[in-house]
Amino acid sequence: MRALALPLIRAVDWLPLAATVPAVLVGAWLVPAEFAVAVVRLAAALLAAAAAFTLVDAMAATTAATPVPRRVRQWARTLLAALAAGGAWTAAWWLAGVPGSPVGPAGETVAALLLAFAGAGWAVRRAEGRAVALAGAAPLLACGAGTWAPAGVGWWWAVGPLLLLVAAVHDDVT
Amino acid sequence: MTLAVFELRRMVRNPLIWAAVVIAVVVEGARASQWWPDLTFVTVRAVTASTLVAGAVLVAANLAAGRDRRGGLPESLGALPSRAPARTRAVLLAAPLAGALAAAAVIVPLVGYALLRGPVAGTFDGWEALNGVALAALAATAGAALARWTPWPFTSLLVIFGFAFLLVANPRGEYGGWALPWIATHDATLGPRPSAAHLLYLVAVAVAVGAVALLRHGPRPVPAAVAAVSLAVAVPVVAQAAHLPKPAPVACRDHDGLTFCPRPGHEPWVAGWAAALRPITSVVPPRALARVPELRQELYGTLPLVWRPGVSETGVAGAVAESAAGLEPGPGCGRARTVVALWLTGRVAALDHERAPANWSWPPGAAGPGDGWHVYPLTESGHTAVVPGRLNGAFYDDADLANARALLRDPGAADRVRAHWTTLTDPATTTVDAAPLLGIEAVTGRGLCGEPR
Amino acid sequence: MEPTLTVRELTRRFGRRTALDRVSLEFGTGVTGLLGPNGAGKTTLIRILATTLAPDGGGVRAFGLDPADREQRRALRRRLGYLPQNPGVYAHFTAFELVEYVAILKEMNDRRARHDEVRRVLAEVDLGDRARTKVRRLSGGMRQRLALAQALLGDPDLIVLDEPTVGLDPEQRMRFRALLSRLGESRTVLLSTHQTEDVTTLCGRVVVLKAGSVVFEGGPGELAARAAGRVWLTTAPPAGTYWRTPDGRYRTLGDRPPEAVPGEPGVEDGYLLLLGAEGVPA
Ligand SMILES: Nc1ncnc2c1ncn2[C@@H]1O[C@H](COP(=O)(O)OP(=O)(O)OP(=O)(O)O)[C@@H](O)[C@H]1O
Ligand SMILES: [Mg+2]
Repeated sequence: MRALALPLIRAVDWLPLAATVPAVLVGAWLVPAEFAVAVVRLAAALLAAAAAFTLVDAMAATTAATPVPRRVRQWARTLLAALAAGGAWTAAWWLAGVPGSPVGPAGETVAALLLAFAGAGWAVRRAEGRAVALAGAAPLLACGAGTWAPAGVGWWWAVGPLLLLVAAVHDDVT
Repeated sequence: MTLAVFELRRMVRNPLIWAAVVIAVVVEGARASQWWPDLTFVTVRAVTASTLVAGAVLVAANLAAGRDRRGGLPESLGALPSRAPARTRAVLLAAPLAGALAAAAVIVPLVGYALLRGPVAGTFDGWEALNGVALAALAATAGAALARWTPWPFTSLLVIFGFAFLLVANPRGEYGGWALPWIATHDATLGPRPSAAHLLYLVAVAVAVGAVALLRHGPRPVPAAVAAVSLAVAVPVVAQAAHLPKPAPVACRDHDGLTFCPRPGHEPWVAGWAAALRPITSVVPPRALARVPELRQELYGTLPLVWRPGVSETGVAGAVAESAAGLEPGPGCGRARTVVALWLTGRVAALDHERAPANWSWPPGAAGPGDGWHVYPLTESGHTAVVPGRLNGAFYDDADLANARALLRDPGAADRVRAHWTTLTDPATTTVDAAPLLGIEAVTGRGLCGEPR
Repeated sequence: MEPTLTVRELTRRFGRRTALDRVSLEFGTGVTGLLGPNGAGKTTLIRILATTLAPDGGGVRAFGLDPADREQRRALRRRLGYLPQNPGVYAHFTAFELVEYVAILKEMNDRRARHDEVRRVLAEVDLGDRARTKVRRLSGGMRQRLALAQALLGDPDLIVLDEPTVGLDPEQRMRFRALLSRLGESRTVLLSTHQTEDVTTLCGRVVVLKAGSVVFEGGPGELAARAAGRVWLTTAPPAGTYWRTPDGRYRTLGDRPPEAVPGEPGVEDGYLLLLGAEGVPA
């Protein structure tokens, strides 16, 4: 497992996250307190959309035929990206100084990450290329379309079904 | 030009854009269907919905303009006579056009849907609608510029989410004002929006951004001049943009014995309001109706600026029933006129699931008001009224509610209430006294009225 | 020949297009060449055999394993080497890292053994001295060899190669042939190609696909024999498709043109006649 993790960390396209994390942290730090909640929610969506890019595997055609199952590789990527995005989000939360309990917003963040992973994970099954991972943003924007999706602990309920969805898109292509 | 037509054909067939059109129309249409149509707001909301399409157009234009840098294409394109600036220009021509079409495909059906549903208040502002079209065009040129100045498709998402953040966190435009690409929330009390000026601003910015995209291919005089001129237009225009003068107030009008004072443009709603209140006006004697103050449509007036069928009439009925029955804010438990007032509101909206509020004032430190309170929308911009109970501040208990429900079950109740109106609404008449007149078996409460349970 | 790999009634559709239409084949130890025009379904068949694509109908059995079953598929992948038509690479990895990454995914968990194996396959494709070079700095043919190297990891029993000789120089092509013929002594090797020469020199057996169906199956000699008596050399340009040979004569296929002398038939002639290529009578 450890042997897999190191090359995988290098294989992953970290650039979108690398571009987003500083932007999110600086934003959380600078923006006035009245916007703290909104900034943290935006950070969740942005980090999720950026994290989705880690699911693109330039060598997918080759690695598809190896005995280590696709879901192991894709979940490993998912976990790495989720750790990075989650860490950045926690830092943004702390920098923004959001009042109250983080439980509800954290649920929303987890759900946003899973939505993005599901969208991008589905897209990378079907097409090649880096831009395909833009699909991760589609469910996020659709959820926010028209109205701002409601905040609250209710998002934790979505986590279970979304995990199943991500598991489904991470499964073997055959 | 051929290249631009080629790009346009690709864009027009882009499933991403059309999916966004469908989502925007369906989501906003479903939301709008719950409200009486007010064209002023319908237009603003339709443009806000169309920004989803603008987002899709931004991504599509970004991918189109960046296409020549992906997947080994640079190598083969490098050997062609047509150069990169020509490809940028083609996208800059095609993408705004496709975006404008797609945005119109969102706005036109939503406005048409409002017109179909009628009665329509407010005025349709064509400049406002064109703001949505211009936003999509701006998104298109921004997508192309991003593709030229930043190598990763991801930067387009950064811009989209940044814009979404502005919509959500700063919806009234407190920060940035009309220099923002879009102010999603309109406060009708401020007067009409400077939509024409803002349209000019958006178009100028879109042109400037397109010129910036072309400047990536080297400092050329034409795009530089275009950028400078359009910015020279945009900056003074937006600096002077402000809400327009408010329209003159319109006269109040009588309907079914009540006086309605609509805001300018809302005259078509008067008949609807009167119809919503007819279960009350049809049984209350005219002299009692004359006691009801004018129903004014204003922020914190009796009539809200927006109307959500199934919710708004409950709030207005409470105020009208209270005044008609001569009730005043304060304890009214066990009085016949409280039962009559509750019965009147029950004729507008059923009392079956109603419970007397446990607290008549907002419990300190509580997150929500609790049982028996009602929330009524007041404005498009999210103001609401949070009201304890069904009446406008008069206290009652569950016994009064039970008596009112009994009265509602009786088909002959209306005639009897009208016949004995004076006695029933006398402040001294208790429900027990009035039970024979009302034809119910009166239930009595525990005597606490307005005290926290 | 004891079949190690059988394919029965294999069908695969993409939308309305049928890429493979009820293909039944058997493969044994040795090298089999897969020929066919563009879009014939070679890659589709190879991807199904490489377990990266599921068929819509029919089944595959390799070494008694059924890739439709998750566990058996995994067992089969442990014995499989696969070179896709468009492999894709991590350009910022070194050649060694890239192959090692695949080796890890092939469950070679012992570090020392894995490194030895990576060095071995790199040497097989003559990239031993480029192990530390970034993939982005390799030439096109070297990248192709690198992709081939990863398919050889772990000495697989079944080797499936989609157009492996694309971009190889003559010397490397020769090396490749030597390598594959050695492997073919004890393994099942399947390769698709457009180079009939590869087939002539390397393959004990040829399968020709056309529009998703098998139109020929047999030895390369048999394929060439199909052209016997249908290859002609003339001094004046004949009707139909022909080309001019360096000695100034014209070579054409099909019915005998006037004053033509018979030419030497090859696999390519048999293949072209079989497909009824344009200007070539079937
Ligand atoms: N992922 C796919 N989606 C849709 N159609 C496909 C896909 N892959 C292959 N096809 C279609 O299936 C048919 C067979 O394609 P395949 O790639 O197997 O051909 P091939 O024999 O490998 O051709 P080539 O010699 O050009 O590599 C073609 O008509 C192709 O268009
Ligand atoms: Mg192929």
